[in-house]
Amino acid sequence: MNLQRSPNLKAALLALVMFSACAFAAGLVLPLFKIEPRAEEWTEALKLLAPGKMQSKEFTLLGGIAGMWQGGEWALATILALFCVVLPLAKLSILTVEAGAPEALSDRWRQFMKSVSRYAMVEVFVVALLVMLAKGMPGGSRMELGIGTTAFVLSVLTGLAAGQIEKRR
Amino acid sequence: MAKTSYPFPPSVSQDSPSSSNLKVLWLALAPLVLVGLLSWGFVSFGQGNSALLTEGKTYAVWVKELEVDPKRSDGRPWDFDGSAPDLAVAIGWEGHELLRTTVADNSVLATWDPVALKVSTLLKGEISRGEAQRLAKFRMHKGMEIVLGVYDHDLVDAESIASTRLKVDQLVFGLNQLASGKGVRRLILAVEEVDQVGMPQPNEHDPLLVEWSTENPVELAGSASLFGEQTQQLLQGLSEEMSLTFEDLSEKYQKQIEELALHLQDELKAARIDAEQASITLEQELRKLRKSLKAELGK
Repeated sequence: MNLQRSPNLKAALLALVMFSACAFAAGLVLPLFKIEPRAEEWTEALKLLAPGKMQSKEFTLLGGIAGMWQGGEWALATILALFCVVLPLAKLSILTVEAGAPEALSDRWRQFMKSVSRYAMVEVFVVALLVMLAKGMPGGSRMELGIGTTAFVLSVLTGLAAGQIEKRR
Repeated sequence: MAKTSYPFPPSVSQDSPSSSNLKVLWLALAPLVLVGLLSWGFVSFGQGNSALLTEGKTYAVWVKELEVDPKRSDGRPWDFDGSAPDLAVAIGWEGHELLRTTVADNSVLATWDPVALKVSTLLKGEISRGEAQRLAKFRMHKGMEIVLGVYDHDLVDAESIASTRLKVDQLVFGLNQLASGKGVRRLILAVEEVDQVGMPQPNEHDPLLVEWSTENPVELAGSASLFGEQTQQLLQGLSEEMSLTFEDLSEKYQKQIEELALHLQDELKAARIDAEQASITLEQELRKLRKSLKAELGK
């Protein structure tokens, strides 16, 4: 099916890309997860004596990357920024051009988007990795997924769907 | 078949190359701009909402930091011995004292925690969170006004340094710095949710405009005398402790003296016995000598 000849497909693609962009924005700045520190039977005592240390803490993707960068973990911060911010944004840009002006997109850019799409699952992997890491926290500490994670996963899934539509052209 | 209208620009092939490139550029930038604007919007919305206190909700307020001028406004030192003041802050509402901090001795800059435990409370063995927390809790409603009193705690009383009235509508969630005045350089109040006390979020807001007065507010009239009572209790405790210490010491030395006397008596007895034995031995030896001399002379 050719996008240039199928306006419905183009509209669907553009709608998906825009939805993905909105969800992506939410995923970047809204809390991905919240950690509630626990220290087994000492939890209540520590809450009493050091309430600041036992406060639950929310983490955002951009905040996490910025924290890593400030903490000197430049390599990890760069990798996360590349795979979780730059490449998804590049993919969204190319998909928008594909929806709006498919004939203007060169084969080189299409090839680039295919390469980027391969790494789309890396975003899911990063979230999964964080969840797995947080599950193993000591002292019965708990982690609750935040709205940012939902938004991020939605962004990834709609991005994948948009990529599938683009592939059908 | 009816022609479907859709929200896309016409085919690029109909445009000139420059307008085509421009369109591609705009399309490529569109999601970036959208993501940027939405991210900024989410962050601003979150910050704006989190900073405001919600009507009807219960909050905890505590004094995080207080800084006063190094000397009184007339140039005299705070304490008669030239030392820094012993700072304390009280918060009152409608005639009730909601919070009284511990006394920060000899400080021009005092900081407090939301948790302060007396040793006597700890010794009880079982402590509720309320006993440990030094918080003023209030239910937010518009127009509510709290009073703040800053005190220099002396040996017998507490002298009011400055006081002010503050509408809780002015407060924001997190740290609130109050404008300076009447010897108070900086006073920071922390406002948090009751269950989440301990790490107030920093705020970039300007200091809250308040007017400081040197008068002790009516609501906190009892605070100064309460600080005085604290000192009296402290002194009483100290004197009791000291008298106990002296009693202990006197008992201890009395025992030592008695033990020493007994020991000396024993030593004297032993010396006397030794002397008696020596004199007996000496007499015996003399007798022997006398006998042997007589025998020699008889020969």
